[in-house]
Amino acid sequence: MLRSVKGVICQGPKLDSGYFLHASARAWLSAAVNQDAQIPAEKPRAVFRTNESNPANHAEQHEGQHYSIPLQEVKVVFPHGLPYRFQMQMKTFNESCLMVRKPALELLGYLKSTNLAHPAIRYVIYGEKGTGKTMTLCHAIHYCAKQDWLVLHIPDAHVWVKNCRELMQSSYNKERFDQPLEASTWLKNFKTSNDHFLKEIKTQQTYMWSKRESTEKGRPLGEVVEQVSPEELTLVHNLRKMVVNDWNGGAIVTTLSQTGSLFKPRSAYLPHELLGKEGFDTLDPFIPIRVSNYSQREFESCYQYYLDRKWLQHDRARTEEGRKELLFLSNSNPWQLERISAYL
Amino acid sequence: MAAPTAGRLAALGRRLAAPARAWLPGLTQVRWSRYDPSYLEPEVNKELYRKPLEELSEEEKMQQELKALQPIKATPSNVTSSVFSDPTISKFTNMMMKGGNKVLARSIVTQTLETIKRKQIEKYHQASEEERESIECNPYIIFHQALKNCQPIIGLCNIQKGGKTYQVPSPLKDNRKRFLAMKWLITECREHKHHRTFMHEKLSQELLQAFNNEGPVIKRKHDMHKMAEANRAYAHYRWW
Repeated sequence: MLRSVKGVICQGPKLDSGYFLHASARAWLSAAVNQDAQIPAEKPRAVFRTNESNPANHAEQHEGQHYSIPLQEVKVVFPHGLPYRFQMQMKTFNESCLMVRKPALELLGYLKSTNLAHPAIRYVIYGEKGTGKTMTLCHAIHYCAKQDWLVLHIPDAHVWVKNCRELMQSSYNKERFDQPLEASTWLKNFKTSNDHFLKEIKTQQTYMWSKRESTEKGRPLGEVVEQVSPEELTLVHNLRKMVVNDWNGGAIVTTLSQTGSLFKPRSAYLPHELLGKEGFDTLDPFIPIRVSNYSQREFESCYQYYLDRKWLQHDRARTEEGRKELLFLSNSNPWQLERISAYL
Repeated sequence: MAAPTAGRLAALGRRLAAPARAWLPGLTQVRWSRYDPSYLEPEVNKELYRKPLEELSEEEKMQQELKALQPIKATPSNVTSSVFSDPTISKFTNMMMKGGNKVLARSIVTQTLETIKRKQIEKYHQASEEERESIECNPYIIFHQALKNCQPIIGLCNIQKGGKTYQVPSPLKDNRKRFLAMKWLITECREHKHHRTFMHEKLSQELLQAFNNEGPVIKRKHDMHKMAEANRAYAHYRWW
């Protein structure tokens, strides 16, 4: 039986978000280079940025705005899991900014109202390629880390199944295989993000955790990989045990992606198509969260952010013509917009 | 009955009215077109179509009327009405292309521009206030300036006199200068590159060096100038 131990919940200071925004926006501007035009410059800057860096306080008024995470926090909370292009962007801009979007706000609302006594609810984030599923997941992880939850973040389950270099026979169960390389990298990263919790755990059993939250990237279950099938891999076996919601005191958030999945067409994005019958039955019932392309407001916000960070360097990109062309070429798809503005 | 013969007569009239220098005895055309000489070039620039009638000058009005009647050639597929299209970049991409693989060539060029931009923006964000103004972040400006810096002013051409071939210094046309700059840049990157380095990485390094007037391509340009200076004595062998 699982025992839920009540842990200490860390909560940030409760501030009135409106006042907070106004006060810190002013303070931020006074440090800006352009000292003369303070009041007229406030309006365009406030459109795409917000100073609310705690995801717990993100509300509908912050929709479409970017909030920045301090780089020290990023190293602790996201040792793995951020998309590669986002990591390059972080390195170039010297800051990491996430956009607050509707699916993320919905998910945060559900997480805020989770009843810890009930069994863990499964959420599946799905959508077309490049719409922001991973970033929504990362937003949720940041929220949970701030709320002092234990975060079990598995960035890409495909990595565990494909291209395995070493396989060792498991000592616990003779029929299963261990993957020492992948397991050790994952454990190292897990340690970085959950250092303070690991000190409280005395035994090796996993049932003594106060609040459990696991995140995994969904992939089509039941695929055969060269010599070994996923059922025989220890990592995958334990992952499947966690996804079954017979434990209480947390939540399971999954992201479905077609990239990396085996034998699935590129246009497949719905849970039923990507998971197959077996996977769908395992995950059923779940709450689906759909992530779609940018709305008008979000696109405008992203465009202004790139202009502000000097990412869009082409002189025609600043004109109305250039903006319309970017909208057309990317079709408001976040991934496509990022790739196009990379060389403009 | 009358309309088709009138059309045929018009075509015949156009062909007869075409200038006689289209063919000269002893000269065969190397580059010829399947199009009739009366076909006009397509106009891709959107700005010109948006001008209202009053702003057009007499000449432009006549051109518009001509376009309504005369046939127009088909646009090639590498020409776009995009505001971001750049003829120099297109030319460079074509020169990079091998075996017709334009997709690969274009991806290399876009990755190069991205790499240049990333390097410069990183430098920009880490520099102090005074240095920030001198750092150029626009990859297109860097590309154009680098190519300009690589263009030779004077070139050498082979002239045979008395059984020997001499390298005679001679002026170069603009097209030839641009071609030589791009050719040297691409050859340099292909030959002196470690096989594990990506092409876009090496290209971005060379372009940034050429932008600052240093590097192997600039050296090659200077070598060309020195050879021309050394062969000054033969300059009178050139008769054009």
